[in-house]
Amino acid sequence: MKAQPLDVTSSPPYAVPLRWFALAPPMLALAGLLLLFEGPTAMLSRWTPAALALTHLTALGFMGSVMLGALVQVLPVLAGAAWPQAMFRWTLLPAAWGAGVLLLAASFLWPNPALTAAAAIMLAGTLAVFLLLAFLALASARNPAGGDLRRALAGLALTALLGLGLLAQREGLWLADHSAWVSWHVASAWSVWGVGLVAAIAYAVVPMFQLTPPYPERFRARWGKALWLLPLAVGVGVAFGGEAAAGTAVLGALLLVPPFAVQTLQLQASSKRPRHDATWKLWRMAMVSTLAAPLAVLLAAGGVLSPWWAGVTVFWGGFTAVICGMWVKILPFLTWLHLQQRPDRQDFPPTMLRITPEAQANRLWQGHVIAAGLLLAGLIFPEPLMRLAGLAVIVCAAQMGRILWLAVRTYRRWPQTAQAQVEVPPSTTSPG
Amino acid sequence: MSTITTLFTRDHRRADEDFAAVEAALLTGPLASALDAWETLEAELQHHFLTEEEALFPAFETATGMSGGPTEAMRLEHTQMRELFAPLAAAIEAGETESVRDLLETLLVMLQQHNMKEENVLYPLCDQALAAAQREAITRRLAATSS
Repeated sequence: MKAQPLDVTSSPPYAVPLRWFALAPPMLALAGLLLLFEGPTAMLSRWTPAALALTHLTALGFMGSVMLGALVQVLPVLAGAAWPQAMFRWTLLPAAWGAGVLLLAASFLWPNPALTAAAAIMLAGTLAVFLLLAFLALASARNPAGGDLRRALAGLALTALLGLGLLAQREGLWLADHSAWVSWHVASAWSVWGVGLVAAIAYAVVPMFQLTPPYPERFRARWGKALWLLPLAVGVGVAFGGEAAAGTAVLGALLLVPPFAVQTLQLQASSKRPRHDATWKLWRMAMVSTLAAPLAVLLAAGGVLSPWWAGVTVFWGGFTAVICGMWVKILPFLTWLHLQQRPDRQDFPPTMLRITPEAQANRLWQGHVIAAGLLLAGLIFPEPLMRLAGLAVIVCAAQMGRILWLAVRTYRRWPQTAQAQVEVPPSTTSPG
Repeated sequence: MSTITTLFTRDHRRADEDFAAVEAALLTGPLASALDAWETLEAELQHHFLTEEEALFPAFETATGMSGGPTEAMRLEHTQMRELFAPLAAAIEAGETESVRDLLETLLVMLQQHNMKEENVLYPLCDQALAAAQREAITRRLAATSS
């Protein structure tokens, strides 16, 4: 049965987004391990098996898991969308996703048609279910947030289809200009899926957490649609070969990505909050990186810089910073919210900074900055700095894991009802 | 034309200003000014919540026949936020800076996600469901003592 918009049963139970989030720290740690052991070798080209495995462990395993978990949580809040209850009941969906990512990474490191096929089936199957449920949930959402989220999900679908096409090409099932298709896949993943989803969430959380003015309506209405010109133009470029596709991707990124970063930085500058916390700093870093990334892509296309510069700027400087910034807010908030909604509660539950103390959030921010510095320095002196960067990434993953563990431990230990709350939508029972 | 969405959203933004004033007073001013700023914000929020609970939500429920849906969820969240008010006032009075920051942070996130749901979903539904005269009366009540 489908809930009404904002119905108390439309909020996911505590465990549902957390199952997705729980995949992120180990996936990031695996990426760090790969960098620690293979870093300098992996960097010889963007096509090395280790580079491909690293990219997908980060993009799908780390970022993808958090982004899908965030979608589970925000669809009801941002768009008033009510998930079909299947999304809350099918608890194996995140596990299938995690297994698919590991199989894919393994298929890059140890090429094998069976591994590739298994990865493709697991990832495509999970995404097909997720996207179907998400589009069903959003079917009745008529507000701008619903449109933003639909576009981001369409971007994910396009990226996934292109990724499947690339796997088919790798296994020789289909012949095409591989590098042109990679440009299309990357352009779609970065723009309409990645930046598109970050923007859809930023429209809500930047004004919300940082007390800034809202994003201008006109910007919001036009930019998200204009961003689709990037994968569409690259798609046309594919017909003219690899160089045309790559050139179109660079030009599109230079023109279409920076406006969002500039707009966000402008809004952040007018924040009414007198103190800047870790979330504010991490968002700032993410937007500066998003502004710098198209330039890095241009220099990489011109052969001036290694494509790894663009990779570090986009993945670590941009997306990982946003994810870390949200991690330290959303986990304590969800924990407090669900504790407060426990039936028969008598005590006042621990509030956000007791669940995630500011010192823990600051540690994650500092760890992120150190890792960013080492990753960039490692591009100049790969041995030994890229290995050290891998270590710093593992430390960040451990800190994210610690923050998650602190939240879950608080949730489980807080003395209240003996009955486990994990599978029960907490809002179905009012505290009175 | 003034709508529920426009005027209630404007009231949310006014509360944001008041919230920032509490944070600024805590950082720079004496304790008394922080307490004054908090009392202003609390009064603003209480008035807003009461206008919704006593005027807007019942009108919406009558017009749509939806009594257990979005309005129930919003009432529940009002209760959750009100529960933070007394500990916050006590912590400000006692000068417990860490506790105040903690409670303010929790209230801010709770308040903002609540506002988002109202602005994106509930207020537009109210604008569709209510007659112009009803909307006028409700927004007049909101304006009556909210400044």
